[in-house]
Amino acid sequence: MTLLQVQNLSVSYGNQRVLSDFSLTLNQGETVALIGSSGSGKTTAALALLGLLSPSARVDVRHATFEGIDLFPRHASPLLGHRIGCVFQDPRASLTPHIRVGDQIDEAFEVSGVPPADRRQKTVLLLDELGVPDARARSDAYPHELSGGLCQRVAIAMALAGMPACLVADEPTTALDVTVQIQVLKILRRMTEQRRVATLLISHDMGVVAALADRVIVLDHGSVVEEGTVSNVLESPRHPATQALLAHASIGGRQ
Amino acid sequence: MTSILEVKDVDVTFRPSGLPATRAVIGASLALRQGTSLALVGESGSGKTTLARAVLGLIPRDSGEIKVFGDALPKNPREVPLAMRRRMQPLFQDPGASLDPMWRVGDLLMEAMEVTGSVEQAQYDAEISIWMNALGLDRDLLTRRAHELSGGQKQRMALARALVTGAKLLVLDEPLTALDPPAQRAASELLLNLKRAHGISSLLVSHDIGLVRFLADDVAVMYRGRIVESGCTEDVLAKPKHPYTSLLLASVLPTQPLAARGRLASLPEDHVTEQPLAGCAFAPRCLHAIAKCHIDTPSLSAVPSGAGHAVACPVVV
Repeated sequence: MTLLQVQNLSVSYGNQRVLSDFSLTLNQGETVALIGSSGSGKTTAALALLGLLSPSARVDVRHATFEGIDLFPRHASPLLGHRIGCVFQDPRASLTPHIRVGDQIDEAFEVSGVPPADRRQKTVLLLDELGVPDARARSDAYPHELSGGLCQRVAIAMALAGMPACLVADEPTTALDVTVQIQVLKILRRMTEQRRVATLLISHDMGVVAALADRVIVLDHGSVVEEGTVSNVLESPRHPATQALLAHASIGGRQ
Repeated sequence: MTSILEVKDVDVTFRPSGLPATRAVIGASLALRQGTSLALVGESGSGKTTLARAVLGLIPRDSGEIKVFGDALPKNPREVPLAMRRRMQPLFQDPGASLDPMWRVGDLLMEAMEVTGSVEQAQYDAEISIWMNALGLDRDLLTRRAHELSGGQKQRMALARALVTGAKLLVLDEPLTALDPPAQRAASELLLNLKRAHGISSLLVSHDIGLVRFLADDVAVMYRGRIVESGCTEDVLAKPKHPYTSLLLASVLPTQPLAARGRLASLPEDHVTEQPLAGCAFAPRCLHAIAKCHIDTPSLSAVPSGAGHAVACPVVV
């Protein structure tokens, strides 16, 4: 089932066009990765769909729907927090420093209409499912008392509390150690397999893309230059921009 | 070959007021040979950056000796003579942070030479040209300010600033993390060229195993403040002995989709735990731990038949 369909999305700031004619189809349970070097437009594309670009950005689009609902001109922002969940690079930036993490997840459940009496139990269950050890005690912690990996699990829990059909994950493991990254990737993989959540993944780590993505879209200077299945794009890259992205991964013969 | 940096039994403890003390580096010893690169790898909180900062004389150490180019580094950062600081230069993760945003980068390079007295004023221009060329930077960039440069250009300019001082030892703390893959590739090749063609030695702090494999001659793996394995890069990365080193290397995902998925599925669920009160710090996460791992703290001992390869694990040796 098609969840998200976008045709010819363009974004400009003044005279400068930062994204040109971007098109995307995202199906239920599918992971599509947007890759590209810094400034290629991958985060711009995601933020435009979420309605999170600054007001000075000019957005043009031919067609954009999520679950059949027109996204523009209202953008996806009314869907954020329940049908669409977001996970960003810096887990601590997604959390309010002076509120206990359990209360923050409770609030995400509140937004999606879960009755107050059930929220705490659901919070603990969700943290448990995400592999947070001693979840009940940890839900009373403040963000600064948790490691980066645990904070990212809390951020994922907040995104999942709304029972989203789609996750937008922008460099979700870039700030984490590789051993911790593995645990977060295992969670994301499990969410797509068990909950059939679709994921729009933004990453420049080709190992992460290889492990999670079904399809890959390569952006360069705001334009899509290559797209295809993950094995086609990563194993036989055609465009020089894709080859450059894969080159660093191979310098040390990263196994 | 002579060691230009020797670290022996160094301890660094942080004592924040009102909080319990943290032993960030415990009994660390290492030696960096002239013209080579030694990598410190490990997860955040393992003490690798703290050890690098102690080497730079930026933070005090509690005990142990550090010798830079044969001279003893004072324990107190305030007592480190300028002449010692000149011979080693840091390069940090955030390339912009090393460049004053108000200054044209050309003036920053001049100031670095003026402060360190590395070359005569008449030679400033020639010295700048040498390093701008070596780093593939266009001279037109000298009149720009930091915000007018790309991330890769900023990182190379920060390198140029370090090199015009005449330093022969660089302390590179996650030098590529802030760059995107094409810029990472270019920067890795530059760093290798600095070592090979210019004899620049480096202490590399990184968790990018690809960069370590590419640049470093020797590796020391840190876990919770201790060096748990060390040796030449080939031995440690191809034949890891310590269970933590093995886990770290297995966690670097291949870029072939089938292999990456297989690896992700095969790695065990693993929780980073509190520091145990006794025994090996990795024991609570370790699949090979035996009873004594929870009691005794293992010390580094030589791996039989591994030249210079040492590991702190009684189970695998």
